[in-house]
Amino acid sequence: MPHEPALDNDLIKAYRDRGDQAAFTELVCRYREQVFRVALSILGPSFAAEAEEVTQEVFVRVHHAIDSFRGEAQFSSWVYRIAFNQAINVKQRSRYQKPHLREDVLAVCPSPLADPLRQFEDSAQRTLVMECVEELPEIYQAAVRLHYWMGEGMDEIAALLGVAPGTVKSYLHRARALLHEMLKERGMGNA
Amino acid sequence: MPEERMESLLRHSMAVDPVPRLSSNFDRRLAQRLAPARLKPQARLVMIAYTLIAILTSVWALSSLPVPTGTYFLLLLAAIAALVPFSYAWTLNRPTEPSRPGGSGRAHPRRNGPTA
Repeated sequence: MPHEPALDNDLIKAYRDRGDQAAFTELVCRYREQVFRVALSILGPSFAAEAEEVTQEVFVRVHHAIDSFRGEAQFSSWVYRIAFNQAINVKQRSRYQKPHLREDVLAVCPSPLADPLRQFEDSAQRTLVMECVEELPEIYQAAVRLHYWMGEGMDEIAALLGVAPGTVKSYLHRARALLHEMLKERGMGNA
Repeated sequence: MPEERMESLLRHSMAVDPVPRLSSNFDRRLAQRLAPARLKPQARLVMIAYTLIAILTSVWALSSLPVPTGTYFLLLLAAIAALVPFSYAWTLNRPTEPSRPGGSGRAHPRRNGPTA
């Protein structure tokens, strides 16, 4: 007979009432990847280490505040909201911090076989797009990165950001329109 | 169509960065952070000995002064009571209800969302 996974509220109750450590571990296992994605979607690809720190901090906060969770909303929404706010705080603190050098940075050195001009143009275009994404409102950045970078669908993004799927579509539409304008202003007329 | 062009431009630009994953020691580090901070038995003995010596020294020093016994017990109690604001500040530092996402951004997601 297949074993039914425990509901979040049952796990919370088990942890609160009996101090069941395994129940809390199960909650962490269920949501750590999504929390990391929410953090990463706000902080951006250059701040993966910070996104992991945010994920840690979120579960520490959940652990401390689990008694104040009244179960009126879904546990996941509560956790994602903490993650979103925590990532925004970290982003504001690290706004003037240089991003980390990515591991693959040397891998994009022009090879003698590839077309160096094409590579340069591609790289410049990509840098410009990423800079413009960085200037979008945080909620649009999150939606754009979750959809185009991480490949999440509308329903998943809606759950992670705590909004309706229609709102996510609207965020993406407005984000694309804003990006189009920004790129045009910066001389990328074919955007 | 600019919409479609933007779609493909975004996909193309973002495909370069691989999506990172949580590091393999994430669970271990989290467990360390959540573990209650307990002193080792030797450290606890040192702390108890220090506290006792501090109290006895204070009592001895105060008793040599021309101060009534009640006053120096009051001073000792005041020193202990001074710790209360610190423990209160510690509890205040704990997180409670977070605010909704999007609050600091220019765009605002659902205002009537669920409250935890």
